[in-house]
Parts: sequence; structure tokens; C-alpha cells
Amino acid sequence: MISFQGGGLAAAARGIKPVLVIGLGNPLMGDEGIGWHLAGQLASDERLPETVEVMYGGTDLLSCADRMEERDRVVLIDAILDLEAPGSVTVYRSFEDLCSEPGGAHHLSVVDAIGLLQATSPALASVEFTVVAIGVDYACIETDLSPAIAARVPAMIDRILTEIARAR
Amino acid sequence: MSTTIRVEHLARVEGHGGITVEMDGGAVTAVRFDLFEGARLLESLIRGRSYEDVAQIVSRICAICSAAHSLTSIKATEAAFGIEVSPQTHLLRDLLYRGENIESHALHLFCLAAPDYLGYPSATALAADHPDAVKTGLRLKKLGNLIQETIGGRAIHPVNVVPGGFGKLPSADELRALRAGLLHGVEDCKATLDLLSGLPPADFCHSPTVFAGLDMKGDYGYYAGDEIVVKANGRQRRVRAADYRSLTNETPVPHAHAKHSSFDGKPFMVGALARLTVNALPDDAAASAMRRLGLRLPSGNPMDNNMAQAVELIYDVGRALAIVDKLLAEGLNEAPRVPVKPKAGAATAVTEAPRGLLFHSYAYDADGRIVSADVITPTAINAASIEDHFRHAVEQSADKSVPALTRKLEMIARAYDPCISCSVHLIQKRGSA
Repeated sequence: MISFQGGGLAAAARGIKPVLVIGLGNPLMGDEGIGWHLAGQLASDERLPETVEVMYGGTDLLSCADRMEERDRVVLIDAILDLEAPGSVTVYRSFEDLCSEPGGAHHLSVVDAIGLLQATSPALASVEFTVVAIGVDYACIETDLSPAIAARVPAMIDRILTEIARAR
Repeated sequence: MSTTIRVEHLARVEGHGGITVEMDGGAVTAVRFDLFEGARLLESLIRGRSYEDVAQIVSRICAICSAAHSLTSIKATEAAFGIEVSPQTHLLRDLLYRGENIESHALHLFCLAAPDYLGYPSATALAADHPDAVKTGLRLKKLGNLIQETIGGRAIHPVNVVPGGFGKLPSADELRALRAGLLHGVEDCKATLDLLSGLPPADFCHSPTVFAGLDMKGDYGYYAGDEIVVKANGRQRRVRAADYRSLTNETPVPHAHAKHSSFDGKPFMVGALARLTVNALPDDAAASAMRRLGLRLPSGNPMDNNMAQAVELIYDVGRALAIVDKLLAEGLNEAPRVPVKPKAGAATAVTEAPRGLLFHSYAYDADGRIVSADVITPTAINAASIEDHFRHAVEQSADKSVPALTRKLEMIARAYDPCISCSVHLIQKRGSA
């Protein structure tokens, strides 16, 4: 069970759950939308603790800023480009190993968005961010997950639930 | 000696090729701007789908332009079925569209463009030294999201926008809360003008530019209208939305997924700069903002699209406040939305997405299922114009070093505010391909 810490008690009194899980990704882009698919499954999983709220984040993390405030933890589920281990689940609690700068000419990365929000919002400065990165090796227009990724969804859910249950 | 400048987007993602400029002894020999044209490929996903589902599906093309896709889709569907919605519905859709424009322009100006001008690698780095500036931008973005949430039901991917009207109308309390946010937004717009008018000039590319924008008929907005004005060298032509193919004249190019658009054989620019060029200035405040920002029209400098976005941002916040005041004063009519009776038919709708002209063209069968669809996004339309400005920027640059040119090319690409990253945004590990 997840413990209440920091602002969690006061937030809980107002009905704000201490842990927020955000599934990122575009469900129209095949495996790139794995975070979106996992959020949907997680929200209906009976093992999900009552202290956890799950939401879809699309591809614009900044839009979720209000929903993150007064949480103890925010767990982001997102796809990561991994040509060698598609389907892998890697948990990042610090982001030095992830690209923090724009990957192209017009892009605000997830890591940049987290940094920006924590730098500009006192209400988010103490929130613990975790990125659960799901390895994918290709993204294309497709509403379904690839068979290889889809087959690993149950194991991914198990791993995410384990991460959610980790005490801060 | 040959030189190649290359700015990568994401490998292994359909169509993401980035920017490539090849030079031989200082002369430009090749220019390529590749982009992900997700909208076009999505047409197969909506074929056979019911009119009730189409707007929801296409809204997911993009997190930033979700209202634009949703509203343009609805507009095409209603035109195909011969549905006339109420003036109140028009007003609410206009407000929703402004919310998206505010959100998109604030994100672009403060988090992507401003770091360029001030020499920072990212918005996070900018925030370390100029936290108030970035906070202003994020508040304005949040305000845009609030408008969309109040009217559309969600900050992104609106659920209230349905054929015939709205699924749920905002309450008076919600409108009052929105009004309070907009009043703060007016103050933030003053800070925006102070910040942007003090940016160093980015004046490294001038070329004769053809502009195309929706004819707003004296009422500056992004949703209403069905005629496009094309303006070049003081001359202007008109194209009806139904004849959009005669505007875009798309042709495939070997290096990009997106077809290139041209009018009379020339690429053309769409977006905020084009909108302000082909339409009368919205009001005195916008004219004043233009003067402070040093924006003179018509402009052959693509970097001025940033300043045009700032003018729209300031105007939209004020206009949104006026609309909310009108809604509060007159009250919302809770009458049910116009009944929708599907029938076989076809129609094309055009609107002004934050990045420019957006076309949705549908054909429906008698049961209201999509038979065929065509979606053309502003970023796809702009691709040829971006390449044209790349070429001029390199040719006009005194400093032909790769770092100097790379910075200029990236800034020009960003000034167009291309929507190449919001439908796909994979995290990357450091050092990965």
C-alpha cells in the first residue's frame, strides 16, 4: 500500500489521491501509444490501489500540470525509442540518461516538460516524478499495438503496479 | 567543397527525416524538409466510420491542434448533411478555437521560439534565468487549455463538440471562472508584449512570399468562412474551400512523405503571418501590438510569423473575454442541438488552425459512414515554402559555417511552428540513433 507523505494528508482530505499515473502517447500511432493503452488497462485493473488515480495525457504533458499538483508522486508511462529491446520496461527516477533537449526542430521532450514544470511551479517542485519507459522500435499510423508489444502488456501492467506500490 | 547541413528528427518513425541542406562552394544544391504527414495516412482509419465517431478520431491526430481537427471535421460533416447550427453554437465554437490558438501560440512563443532568440538551448534553460517570462507563457497556455476545457469538455481532445451543436453547455459559474482567468490573461499579454518587443532581431532571410489565408470578412476568427485569399505582390486571388485542390496543387516529392503544395507554380505560406496579411487588422490593440513588435506587412521574413502569432495571442485573449462577457450577459440557450439526419453527400471545410489552413473533405454514404476522406494540414502545405525560405536563408547568409547556418535553419523551421512532433513524441535515450 502506498503511504501518505508530505502534502498527501491534506490533499487526501480534499479527495486528491497521492499518486497520479499518466499514460502518454498517441493511440493513433501504433506502439508509440503504448502509454495510452496501458493507462486504460491499468485504470480498470482491480489490483490498482485506491490511492492511485490514472489519466490519459496524450502527447502534451504540460496540459496535465494542474492535475499533478498536490500529489506525492507522478508516474508517467511513455514509449521510448529502443531498437534493441522493444517491449522492455525501464523505470527512470532520475533523467540524466534521457534526452532533455529537443530531438528535432520543433519539439518539447517529456524530460524538458518535467524540468520546466518543476522549475516554474512551486506546487510541483516537491512532487516525485517517475518515468516508466516502454521500449518500442517503430511508430506508424495504426490504432492497434503490434503483436509483439501487445503480448507483453500483462507483464508491463505487473511491472507498473510494482513500481506504483514502491514506497517513496 | 561540398557541405551538408543536417538536423535530425526521430529515426525509425515514419517520415521523420529532418532538415537537409547541401551546398557546393557556397551555392545551395539541394534543400529538403521532411515531415511526418500523419493526417493524410489517417484517412484510412476513418473510412467506413460513422459521422458520430469521426471528429473524435481525428481530434487525436494532434494534442495541440485537437480542437482544430475536431471543429473542421464537424464543419465538413454538417455541410455534407446540410445542417445549419445556431448562432450560439457558432459563437462557442469560435471561442473554443481561440482557446486552442492561445494555448498553441503561448507554447510556441515562450517554450520554443523565445529560447532561440535569447540564446538558450531549451525552455528549461530559459526558465533558470528568466522564470517570470516562462511562467507568463505557461499561464497563457493554461488559459488556452481552460477555455478548451470549459467549452470543449476537456483541455485536449474536446468531447462536447458534436454534429449539430454541443453535447454539454458550460454553466454560468464555469464561464465566470473562465472570465477571471481571462482578466489575468489580459495582464499577461501586456508582459508578453514587453518581452517580445525586446527580443533581438532575427532578420536573416527575406524573399518574395505568397500568402494564403481564410477570408474572415472583417471578423478576425479561425472557424467561420469558406473562401481563401491568396496574396502575392499586391495582387490577390480567391479560392473557394470546395475548390481546395486548385489551391494546393499537391505534387509528390521524392524526399518527403508530404506532397508539396504550390499555387501558380509557387510555394505559399499559411499561418498567423498569412492571416494578418490577407485580412484587415482585427482592432486598434492589434495594430498597436504590431507597431511595438516592429511587424510590417507584407513581410518576406518568415521569422515574422512569430510576431504575427504574438499579435493574434494578444487579440484572442481580449476577444475571448468579450465573448464570455456576451455569453454571461445574454445567457446560454439550453435548447437541444440541431437533429442530425445523415444522408449521402460530400463537402469540404476549411478553418484556420494555429499553424494555418486546415482542410477536411469528406464523402458520406446514406447511412452516414465515411466513403472517402482527404485531410490537408497546414504543416504539409508549408513544407515547400519552408524549403524555399531555407534556400534563401543560406544564400543570403554571410556566415556559411555549419553551426551558424544550422541555427538559422532551425529557427526558420520553428518560426513556421511546424506540427511534426505532437502526434509522435517518443522519448530518446542519450546517444541513441
